[in-house]
Amino acid sequence: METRVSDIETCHERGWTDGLPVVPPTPELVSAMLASTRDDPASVVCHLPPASGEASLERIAANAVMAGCLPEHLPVLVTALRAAADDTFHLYDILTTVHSMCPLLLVSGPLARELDMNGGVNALGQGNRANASLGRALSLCFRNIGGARPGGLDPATIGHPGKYSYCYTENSELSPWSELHVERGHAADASTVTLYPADAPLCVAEMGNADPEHILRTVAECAAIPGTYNAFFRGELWLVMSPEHANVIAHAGWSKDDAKQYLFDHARIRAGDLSDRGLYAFADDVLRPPWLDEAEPDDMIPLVETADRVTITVAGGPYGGYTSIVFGELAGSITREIEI
Amino acid sequence: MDYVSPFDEQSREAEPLAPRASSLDGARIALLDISKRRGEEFLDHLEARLRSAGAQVRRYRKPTFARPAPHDLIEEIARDANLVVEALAD
Repeated sequence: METRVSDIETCHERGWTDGLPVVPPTPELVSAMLASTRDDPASVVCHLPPASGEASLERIAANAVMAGCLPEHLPVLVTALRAAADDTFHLYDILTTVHSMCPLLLVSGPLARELDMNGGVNALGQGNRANASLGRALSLCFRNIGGARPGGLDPATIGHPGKYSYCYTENSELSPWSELHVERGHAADASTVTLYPADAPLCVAEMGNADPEHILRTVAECAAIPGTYNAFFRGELWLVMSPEHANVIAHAGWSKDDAKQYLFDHARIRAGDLSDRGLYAFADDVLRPPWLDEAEPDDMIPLVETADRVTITVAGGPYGGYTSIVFGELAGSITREIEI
Repeated sequence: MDYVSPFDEQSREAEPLAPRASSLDGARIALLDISKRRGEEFLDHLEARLRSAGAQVRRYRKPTFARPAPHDLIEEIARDANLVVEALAD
């Protein structure tokens, strides 16, 4: 059936879009999106905060159509929504905070390659259909099913561009290390989604210094700044490391765990520089970290509680000494296996 | 053209406001502090004014503004009060 411009305008008028045009979710397109699933379209996958909206398969498929997804993308989206709705992920807080964050979606394993996802040049940027439409579909589900609409239940003061779409896969071909799902105990031939409550990426350059310490010291210093939610909550810290950085580190004989340990040891902030900065003055009795009250002003406070709370993913093109730091919040990431 | 709605229509509907109280005289009012900065100050002023208007006032406090109120606290307020004022945000 032919779609006209007026159909796209209708979707805008009904408040269904993220501001960009969407594919109108006609019954034919939604049925096609659901063709590969045997489950009842009315079956409920999960409830999405903040309004506890009922995420039925059919509604999820309608949002997937609007975002530009293909039917083979649907299992990824469904698994990502289930993971997002898990109580441990604190999606309610992520969607309703005045802070500027949203779930970042990483797809790992062979399915990412089958779907032709991009973990190479411009991995976190525009240009790849699966990355763009999967990230966008997730965001549209939060908006349309969960009710997290800007100015309504999504009150983010500034927001960030990843709220349109924030999805990538790792560069498994050029990475010297295992993909994240293997590191987290899944079989190499399994595929997973991982969601992380994410600020916009801060891209750090460290060029021309072919040793791990030089690279990681710069990353540690750029990460250890007051005013981020990590500096206050000491939650998980997520990195997107270019293949060049990862290979310099690996070729010097360092494992990924060695790199995490270095960041734990060096990404530290002086206690006296934290006590009246960032979120500290704002904290209530529950949130105020007891370790800060106990610390001496010159104590160096690690940015994460333990080295394994640093997550390193490897993505991006073959050339360029960059690592993007993605600050998070209190909750950490969640990984779930995709069932096809 | 027909579309499949991407909305949960229920989540789209705003909750209707409760009927406005006709009088404060003898009303049992819960003042809920969500533990956000300066909420207490606001509620102190409100409490003084409500008391002078003849209301009974009790103060409640969420452990942290960063999480929904505990179920027990909501139950307690629902049991004890017939009006609630929440000092939301800063």
